[in-house]
Amino acid sequence: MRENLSSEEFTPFGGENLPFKEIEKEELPREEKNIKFKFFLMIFIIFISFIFLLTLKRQNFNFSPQPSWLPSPAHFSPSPTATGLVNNNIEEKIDLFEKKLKETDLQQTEFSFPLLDFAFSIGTKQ
Amino acid sequence: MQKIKIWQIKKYHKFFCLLGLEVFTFCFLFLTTRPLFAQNEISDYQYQNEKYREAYQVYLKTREAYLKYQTLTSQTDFNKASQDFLYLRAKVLRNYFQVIKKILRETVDIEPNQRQALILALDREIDSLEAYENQLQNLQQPTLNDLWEISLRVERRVNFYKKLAYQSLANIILGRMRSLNSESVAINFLLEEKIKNNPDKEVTLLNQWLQTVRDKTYQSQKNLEKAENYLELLNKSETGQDAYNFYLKIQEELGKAKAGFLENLNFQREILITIKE
Repeated sequence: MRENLSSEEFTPFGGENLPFKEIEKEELPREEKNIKFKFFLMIFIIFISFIFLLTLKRQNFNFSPQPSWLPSPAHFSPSPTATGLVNNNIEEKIDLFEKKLKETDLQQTEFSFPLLDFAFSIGTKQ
Repeated sequence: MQKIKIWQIKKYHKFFCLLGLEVFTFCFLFLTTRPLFAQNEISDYQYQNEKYREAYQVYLKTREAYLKYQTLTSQTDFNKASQDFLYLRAKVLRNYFQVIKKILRETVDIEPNQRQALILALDREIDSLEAYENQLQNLQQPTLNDLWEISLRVERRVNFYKKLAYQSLANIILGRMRSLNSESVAINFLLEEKIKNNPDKEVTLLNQWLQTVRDKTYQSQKNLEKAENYLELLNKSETGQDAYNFYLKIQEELGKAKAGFLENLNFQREILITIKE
């Protein structure tokens, strides 16, 4: 039966013989929807990531090399095996220690409480 | 017509992809590159401090003029200058707390609970000062009475601000000295190993020297303990002046500890040279 039909007579869309151009038009919106979906999905992922990072920041999550949830090195007494694993050159360690020691500013004058006038009301009332 | 529309969407798709990537990278860098931002905050604080100094001079001049002439013009000028002065005073304070918060975060060897508590307290003050600044900025033609009332809100908290600042600074310098103490102890361990591995050297003499170094380290550690005790007193202090006095004592004890570490450093170097000879 099918073999007897010519290519022009064959109707795959429920008996209606649609021209080729119209089929192409039907497929285009589907592609558009797909792109839109991908686009909104991407925006959603970025938004969620942004909220996640902001939440971490608001909670004072520590990104520094020494996270707050890890015990500080002062809690461990350095063992010879442990120190040997990292850097065994005492000379270098002493030089570095000296540099750090000299750079350590205990006065912190730059960051002492700012000299501000807190007597506005008192001064004016007088 | 249809094809052009799809082409446009594809074009925007790429654009938004790049934009999204940029936003994400910016957020990540913003949250991770702390030292850079810390530096910015320090310079911002210094800049605001300079602006405050200028505004303060204007405030003093206009006040003088107002008290002298008592005219409506001089009063308006004084009101405006007072508003600017109060605004910048709050801004300097806020920036100062932001700088301290950053340094607190970056300093290792601060007790985690103490650090967290201080950061939370600083955050609260930063937020409240920001709201205060906004309120001041939005005031339209405030009277002197309005400004008095607003100023009092900050002035009543000065003691607390000072205590918070000195608590933070004390923890920062104490943390740094704790870190140096750990390093000094580590060097002593390495020297001990070195002496053990070189039995042909004068082991007894070198061990005696090392013991002297250990004793000095112990003395420095005692100074650190004293500083920690003063920190506890600082935490309990009620006035800003008391907090400052305890902070000075902490500085003094840590200064002694630092001098001990410096003296030790020369001994440690001497021991190392003797082993190498």
